[in-house]
Amino acid sequence: MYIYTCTEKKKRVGVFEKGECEKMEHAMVIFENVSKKLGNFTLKDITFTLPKGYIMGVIGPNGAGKTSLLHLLLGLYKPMEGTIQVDDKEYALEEAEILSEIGVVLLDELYDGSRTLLQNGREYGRFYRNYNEVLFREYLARFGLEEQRKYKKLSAGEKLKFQFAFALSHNAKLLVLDEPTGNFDPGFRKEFFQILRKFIADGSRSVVLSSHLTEDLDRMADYILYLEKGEVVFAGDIEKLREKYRLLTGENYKIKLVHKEQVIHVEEGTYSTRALVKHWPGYEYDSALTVTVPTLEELMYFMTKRRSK
Amino acid sequence: MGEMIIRDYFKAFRWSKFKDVFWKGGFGIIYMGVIVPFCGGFTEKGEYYVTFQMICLPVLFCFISCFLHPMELPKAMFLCPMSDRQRRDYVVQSCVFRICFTGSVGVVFTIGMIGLGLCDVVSGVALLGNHICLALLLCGFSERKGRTEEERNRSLLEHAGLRSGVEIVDALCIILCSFGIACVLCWDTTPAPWVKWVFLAVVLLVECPLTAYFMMGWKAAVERAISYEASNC
Repeated sequence: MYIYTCTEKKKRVGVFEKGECEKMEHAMVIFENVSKKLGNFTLKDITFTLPKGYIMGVIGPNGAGKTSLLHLLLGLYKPMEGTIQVDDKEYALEEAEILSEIGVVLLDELYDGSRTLLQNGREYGRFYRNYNEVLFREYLARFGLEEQRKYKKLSAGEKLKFQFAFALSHNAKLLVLDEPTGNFDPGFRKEFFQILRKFIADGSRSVVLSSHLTEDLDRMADYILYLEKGEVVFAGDIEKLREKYRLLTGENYKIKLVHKEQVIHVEEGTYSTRALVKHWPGYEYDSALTVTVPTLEELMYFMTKRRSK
Repeated sequence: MGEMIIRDYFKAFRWSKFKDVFWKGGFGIIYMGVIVPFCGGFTEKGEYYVTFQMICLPVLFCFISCFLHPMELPKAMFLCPMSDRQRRDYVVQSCVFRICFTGSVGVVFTIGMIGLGLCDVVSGVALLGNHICLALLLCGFSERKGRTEEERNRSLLEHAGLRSGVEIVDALCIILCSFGIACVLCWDTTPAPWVKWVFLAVVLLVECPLTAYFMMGWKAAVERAISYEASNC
């Protein structure tokens, strides 16, 4: 099943079927039929749009293609087919312009381990026309990082904090964050999300955040892109997605009464059965069933089960 | 960009980076600095030892430079706001600077040897050619760090085919020539006058064409270096 989202300026329209996607007027990121082969792995026909002022969560099991997708977004990989636009610019024509507007947090060791944080900031800040060292130092202090410390002496979480500080210090319009939250302590995670909320508050900036921690995305993300085996399982407004599915819990024979076309996956337990179903507005479920809105984790779980079946 | 290239070049000469090279190449340094001079009899006179080291040091510097300055861009630089053209310019110019700088170290040492009367002009020209070929061969194509020998060979075969064989022959010629000239200059026995002409002929007729052939793949190497996919996938 392919679902795509199209949203007009300042107005969420929701989840669309493939082929119905219209071009957005104020989009931060547009992927249009993007395909990329990387060895034995292929990202197939990726299409989604992220409007300005929103946070998109990229989720999926290990090896689904999340990092490859982010690499495409960052211009590290060139698509074999399709087009990628960031803030109405294309990589082929305005790569430097695009990259000057992107702040990055990746799991890789991006910076020079033998240099201090300040030196690293200066080193790479010189490429950004809007790099603000004062702001960078402020963020370092706020995140509890000593600017004279060597990069290699930082822990994994601190390295990500450093990258985050740098990403925020050159007036980026788009933040691309690859699974940063897993390495943050709970205290900083809260601050991290506050900063992200503030970052997008003026409606002109966006965030693409890949994470395994779906709880965080449940709270934070406005849009969800769910990848599996290099394909988009769904892409859309998180609320619309939640509206589209229901989790049923109850006796097996009651669940079997649900229309077959609705059922995505059924998991039979010893005492009760759970099923993820497509929610048809107005459809009345058996009163003996417990009907809940699925969390992202539950959605991911059932979708993965269905596909592996 | 020139200032940036020069700064980046010298920035790489740090103990943290150098010690890796030192431990990897430590045996080579001991071999050329102690074992070869003693076994080769280059220690009989102080000036012979100095001459031998003046031949070896630029070669050693070339190897060190090759390890310290691989022809690659760090991942962070692919994420910095630069166009492909700017990245290409950076890679090409830094590569040219590296070749010129390491080559010029060889030139300075060789001219110094001629000036000090440690070396005649014919041997000096042969040494110069040797150093320049080595600088082009090593600094022009230094592969990215961390690659295993197997990966490097596979990459060379995939991208270069015949060039990998040419590289080996060329490198052998350079090493044999350097050593041969060192023997001519550092032994008491004066060889026949044609011997040094043979070395010069090898440099001009074998090394230079092989290096030129190898350099034909330079453009492709630059393209690989500026493409994240080509250099990392």
